[in-house]
Formats: sequence, C-alpha cells, structure tokens
Amino acid sequence: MLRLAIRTVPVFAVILGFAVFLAAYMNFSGVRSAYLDIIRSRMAMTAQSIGNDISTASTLGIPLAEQVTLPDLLARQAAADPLTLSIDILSDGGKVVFSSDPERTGSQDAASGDIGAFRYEDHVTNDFGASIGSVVVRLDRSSITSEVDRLGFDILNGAIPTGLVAVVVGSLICLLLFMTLRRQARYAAEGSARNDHIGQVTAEMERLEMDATK
Amino acid sequence: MNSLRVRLSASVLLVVVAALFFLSFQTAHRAQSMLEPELERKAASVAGSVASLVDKALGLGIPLDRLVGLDTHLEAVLESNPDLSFIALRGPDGATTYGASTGIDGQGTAASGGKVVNAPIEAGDGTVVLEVGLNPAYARQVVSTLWIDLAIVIFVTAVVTLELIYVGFGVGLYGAIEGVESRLRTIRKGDLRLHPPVDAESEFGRFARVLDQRLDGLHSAYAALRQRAVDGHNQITQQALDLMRNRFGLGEGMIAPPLQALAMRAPLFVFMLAEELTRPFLPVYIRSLATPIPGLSPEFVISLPMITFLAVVALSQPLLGNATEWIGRRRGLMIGSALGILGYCASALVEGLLALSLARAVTAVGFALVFTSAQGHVIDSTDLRQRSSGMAIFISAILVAGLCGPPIGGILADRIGIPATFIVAGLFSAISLGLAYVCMPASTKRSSARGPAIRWKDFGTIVSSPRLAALFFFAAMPAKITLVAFCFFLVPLQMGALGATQSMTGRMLMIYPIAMVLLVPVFASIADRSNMRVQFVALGGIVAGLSSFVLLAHGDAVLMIALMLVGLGLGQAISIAPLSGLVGEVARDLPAEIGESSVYGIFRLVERTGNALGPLVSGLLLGLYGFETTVMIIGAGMAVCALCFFIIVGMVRGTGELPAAGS
Repeated sequence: MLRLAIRTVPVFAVILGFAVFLAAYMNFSGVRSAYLDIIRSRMAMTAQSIGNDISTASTLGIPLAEQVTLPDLLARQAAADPLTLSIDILSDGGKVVFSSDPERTGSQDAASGDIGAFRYEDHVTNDFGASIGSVVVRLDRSSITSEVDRLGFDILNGAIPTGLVAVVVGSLICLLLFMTLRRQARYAAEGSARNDHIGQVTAEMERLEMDATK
Repeated sequence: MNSLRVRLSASVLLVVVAALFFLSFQTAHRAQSMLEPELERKAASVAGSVASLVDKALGLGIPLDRLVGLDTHLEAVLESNPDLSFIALRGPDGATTYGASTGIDGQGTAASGGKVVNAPIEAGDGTVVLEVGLNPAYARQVVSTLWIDLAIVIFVTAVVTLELIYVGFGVGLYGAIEGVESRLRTIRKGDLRLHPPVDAESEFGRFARVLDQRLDGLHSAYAALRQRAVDGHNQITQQALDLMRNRFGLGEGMIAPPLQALAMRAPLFVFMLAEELTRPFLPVYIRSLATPIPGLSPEFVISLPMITFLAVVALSQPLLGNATEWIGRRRGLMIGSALGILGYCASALVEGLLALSLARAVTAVGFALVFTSAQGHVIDSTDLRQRSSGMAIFISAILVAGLCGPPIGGILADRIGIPATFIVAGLFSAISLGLAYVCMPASTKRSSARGPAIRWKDFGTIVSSPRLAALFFFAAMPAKITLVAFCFFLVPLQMGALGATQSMTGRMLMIYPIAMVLLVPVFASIADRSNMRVQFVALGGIVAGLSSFVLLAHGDAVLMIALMLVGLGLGQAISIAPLSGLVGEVARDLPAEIGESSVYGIFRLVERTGNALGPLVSGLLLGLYGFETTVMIIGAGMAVCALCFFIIVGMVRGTGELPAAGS
C-alpha cells in the first residue's frame, strides 16, 4: 500500500495544487483589474473635468497657451489626490504647456520613458472637433504597484495554507478510496465477501457433482 | 477503473470547490479593504466634477430649480460608474432637488450602509450639497463575477484529473487497478467469465491474479463436470450446467480492454487542448493583424489564415497516415508537438497576416501529425474486437479538449492577453511532446489493419454513386462547413463586435461540444435501434440549418447566438453518428473491389475539405451581407442540402439497405 501511496498521492497533490494556484491567480487578477479600473476611471474623471474647462475657454476664444488660470486649477486637483505626481496640459506637439508640477512646464512629454508614472491621457477638442491638446494625469506607479504587490502577497498567504490543506485532504480521500477498493479486493480474493458468487457457484457445482455421482 | 476514476474525480472536485470557496471568501474580504479607499477617492472626484458643473451653471445665473438636463447627466454618470449607488443634489432645506439612483439605495441616502461623499456648492440663497453614495456591495460583486470563471476552472480540473490519472499511474498500475475493479464489478453482478490477465507486479495485480485463480478453478471444475456429464450421458446435470453457464458465463472469457491504446490519450488531449485554447480569440487576433488587401473584403482577409490551417490539415492528413507508420507513431506525435510549439510561439510573435498564415500552416502540419499518429497508434495497438473502444478513447480525448479548451483560452486571453495565450498553447504542445515520450511505446507492433486509406483510383467510382455523392456533398460537407463557419469564425467575430470578453466567447463555444457529448450517444442509439439513419441525417441537417433563423427573433443578441448554437449542436448530434454509419451501409452498393476503408478515407477527406471551406464561405458572405444574413444563408443552405440528400437517397434505392429492426 505504501508503494501505491507513493505513486498516487503526488499525482493528486499536483492536480489539487495546480487548481488552487490557478484559482488564487484568478482571484488576484480579478481584484487587481478592478483596482486599476477604479484608479483609471478616477483619472479619467479628473482629466475630463479639466478638459471640459479648456474646451469651454477655447469656445470663448481663449487659446490654450493663454488659459492662465489653469496652473491653479491643476495644482488644486493634484493636491486633492496624494498619489498624483502631476497633471499636465500638453500642446498638440507634446510639449507641457501647464503643469501642477512647475518643473515640468515647458518640457517635452515622453510617455515611453515615463516609467515611474501610471498615466492617463485625454485628448481635448474644440466644438468643431479640432485638437486643442491633451490632459495627462500622472500617478505614482510605485505606490500603485506596492498596493498590488501587497494584494498578491495576502492572497498567496491565504492560498498556501488552503492549498496545503486541500492537497492533504484530497490525497487522504484518494488513499481512502484506494484502501476501500483494496479491502473489497482482499475479501473477494479470500472468498469472504458478503455476496461471494464464486463461492456460491463452486458450492452449487460440488452439490451437482455429488448428485451426479450418486 | 471507470467508477474509481469517477469517484477520484468527484473527490478532487469536492476538495477543490471547498478550497476555492474559502479562498474567494478571503479574497472578497481583502478586496473590500483595498477597493474601498479607492472608491472613496473616486467618489470624491465624481462629486468634485459634478459640483464644478453645477457651480458653473449657478454662477451663470441659472436658478437652482431650472438646471434642465441635470437628472439625465447624473443618470449617465451613475451608469458609467457601477461602484456608485446614487448621486443627489440637495437644496439648502436638505430636500433632493436632482438625483439618480441605481436602486441599491433607492432613497438616495446612506441608509444601506454605503459611505457617502459630500461636495458643498455655494448658491445665492444658501449652500446646496452634492452627495455621492458608494455601492456597498461593489467589492463583493468584483469577486462574485469571478465565480463563473472559477466554476469553469473547477470543471476543467475535474476533467483533467480524469485524463491525468492514467499518466500518473502508468500503464501497469492503471491496468492492475482497472483489472481488479472490473473483476469485482462483474463478480458482484454474478458474471463469472474469465478476464484477460493483468500485470501482477503491483499489489492490485496480485489481487487480480488471486481472483483469476479462483475463477480458473471454478471454470476448470465446470469443464471437468461437464465432460463427466457428457461421458455419462447425464442429461439432468448437463441441463443444470447449461443453466449455470447461461447465468454465470462459465466457460466464457471477456475481451481485453484496449489498455495499450490509452498511451496516446494524454499527449493527444493536451495537444488538442492547445489548439482549442485559440478558438475564442483567433478571428479577433487575425483581424488585429490584418491589413487591407485591394479587392478583398476585410472579413475575407480575416478568414485567410484559418483557411490555410484547415486546408493544410485536410491535404496533409491522408499523406501523413503512412508517414507516421514509417517513422513510428511516438516519433510522429513528438514531431507534431514540436511543430505545434514552433507554430504557436510564432503566432504569438508575428506582426502581419502573411507571417501568421505561415505560423498557422506550421501548426496545421503539427496538428495533422499528432492526429494521424494518435489514430495510427490506436489502430496498431488494438485488434478488430477492441477497435471501437480504442477509437472511442481517441474521439473522447478530442471532444473533452474541445469542451475545456475554448473557455480556458478565453479566460487566459482576457487575463494575460492573446500573444501570451499562444505561448501557453505552445507550452501545452511541449507538455504533449513530453507526455508522448513518457507514455507511448517507442515502437508499436504494427497491426495488419490500416486506418482509412484513400485509393485515388476509387474516387471516381465512389463519387459517381448517387447515394454516396448525396451523402458526401449534401450531408457531410455542408455539416462541416456550417460547423466551422459558425463556431470557429462567425460567432467569435460577432461576440467581439457585441463587446463580449474572450471569456464570454469561450463559454459560448462550450455549447456545441456539450450538446455533442450529451446527445450523440442518445441519438446514435435511437438511430441504430430504429434503423432510420437516412431520416436522422436529414432531420439533423434541417434542425442544424434552421437553427440559424432564431436570429430573426428580436431579443438579446447574445442569447440568440446561444440558442442558435444549441440548435446547431442538437442538429449535428442527431446526424453525426448515423452519418458515419451510413457510409459503410451505402458503400455496399459499390463494386466489391472498392474497400470500405477507401470509402471512409474519401469520406474523411470530403469532411476535411468542408472544414477548409467553412471560413472561406463565411468570410466571403460576411463581407457582403453582415453576420445575421450570412448565418441564415449558410443555415438555409445546410437545410436545403439535407432535404436534397433525403430526396436523392429516398429516390435511389440501394442494394445494401438493412431491414428495419424487428422486421
């Protein structure tokens, strides 16, 4: 039985472990997506609100570069969210025209090199659909990543004991099933099963033989 | 082993369900603590944004009770933010002036326990307050939406457990346990026939041997007594022994189960799973890579890599049957899996339609090699009496992969992206390669029997038989065109167009294989018993074809597509087994020198040609008429072909027609 256990238990351990791991990953991935979606929609809300103001001012004939109240608005919006690195207003050419972070004003924005930021960009158009520029909301990626990492760690912390218990319980149930089959096989082999047809037919045959020899 | 396998799977299922419940409960709790602060921040942004809009309107001098369209705006904001339960603008007296609510908190208050974020707005005659309520159940909802995916994971885990038990145990132990189980089962029922010997090295093997010794003793006693009764002309004893023989099967033996054929099951299943993973997203992926080709509709362009795959499979399978016999079935399967690795990984990395078509062509050769090697292994390792059960093992591996692959592929594509899912498919091919190396014998004793081989000189004679031609071109080929067009091409594209996720598409594609797994045995048995194969083939074709017309009903588009696939599954389940049976039956009309295997070989080639035509036909029609009309044209064509088949086969009476059961 030990040999059988050695051969079978790892199979079930792998299957159960894999199932729990997959489920843990899906749980993690589902919550992570929801978390990032909420952050994105919050960024979108901020960007669209600022974009509407820019668009309204443009409709009134004020060019983007002359919307001088924007830096105060950007600073207020950025201060409301501790994760914000900056909120930038970009020209069509990608140059930072206004920013909540004064150091970024006048620089060229490069999305590909901006690895420290979790970005959301919203294009602003006027009433005729012509592009005015874009609003870029930049959040601190490391804070977001560390929150996601904490989530992964917590789920893994729960999944490891759950997986181990599942593996142990599952393997024990599987062993129990094998032992039941083994017991039934032993009874049948010894002829001590409750309804031993081989024994009954053998007895019937012996009775026939005795009748035939009478 | 069957009942033990089922019990083992049920146990694994039970433990997995319990573990997943616990894990998901924990995750829901964690999600709540993680999402709530973010939701509050977001609610504050929403409140700030709406408050600024109202402030602007009030600043322009519009009175508070004349903010036309604000209710509609608030409803739109609420609709696009499922994490919020209400938005309300309350006047200086605290009464709600404008508002929208999801019904979760119908009163627009915090009474339900959800948090509320306020944004005060200065109006001329006091302060109005904008309140945004958080949906208290949102975090739980996020986790509960995972349950459908988790249910699929649980189901697939159980199925994979069933498949992997053989791999884990190896042929010797598996055979011994199967041997003991079948002995106990038959002995318990009073069936005392002799069993084929099993490997007696393991403990279960020894039990099987002891049981065999007891049965041998009984059979020897029976034979000796019968001999004495015959020699002594003892009629009474002979009659008693006859009764015992009839009741207990004394003096008889059982057919050995095709255990050696099982060796190909795990590598075949895993490889087929790899291909099935790609079903829900392949057309969408092709569309993302496609560039316009002058003179061709975008829809037809999308079908090109799929046509390439299916055409290569159709053309190479007849040739590769002999090739795998020559190089060895295990080596054939391993080469096929290696090509699969190459093809799937290349599919993940390519950047254009031509490169993807080439990658799919390489995968197709791998697919054909794996298919023919596995089929060849079954033929090599079974005798004629075991052939049907051996082929059942082969077919069920493909069906189970078809059932599990699309939903898993959809989930993976949603979570890790389509290119990464192709890499996972490549990984599965690698596992298939490893399993082929571990599980399959290096060389199998070649059976004298061959698989369906095509003799090209028979082709003219076969297709000039009106009944066979009708069977091939009005029943078999349209059935495959419809299947591939609907399940592999049109439905994934339409689901994408409806905004469905890949997971939803994958779940949708489960409908057809579920119908097949559940209904094919039922209809096959009814058709055989009633000897109405022709009627079943025609009826199945008509049901499958007419199912497309459910799209005419006005209702939820996704539900209508699901109903259409149920109809397709039902129709094809009615016709598929009688169709295969009819080939052999109608082939009896042909001259004696044309072998049945040649007829079946050409039948399979016609089916595979239908497979390749599926995306071609649907791609052409989709570019011209759109989804619904295309589906109905193909469905109507299928139904008309089924009717033509019925008329032609009914008019031309064959010589090989079987008498009705009981007549």
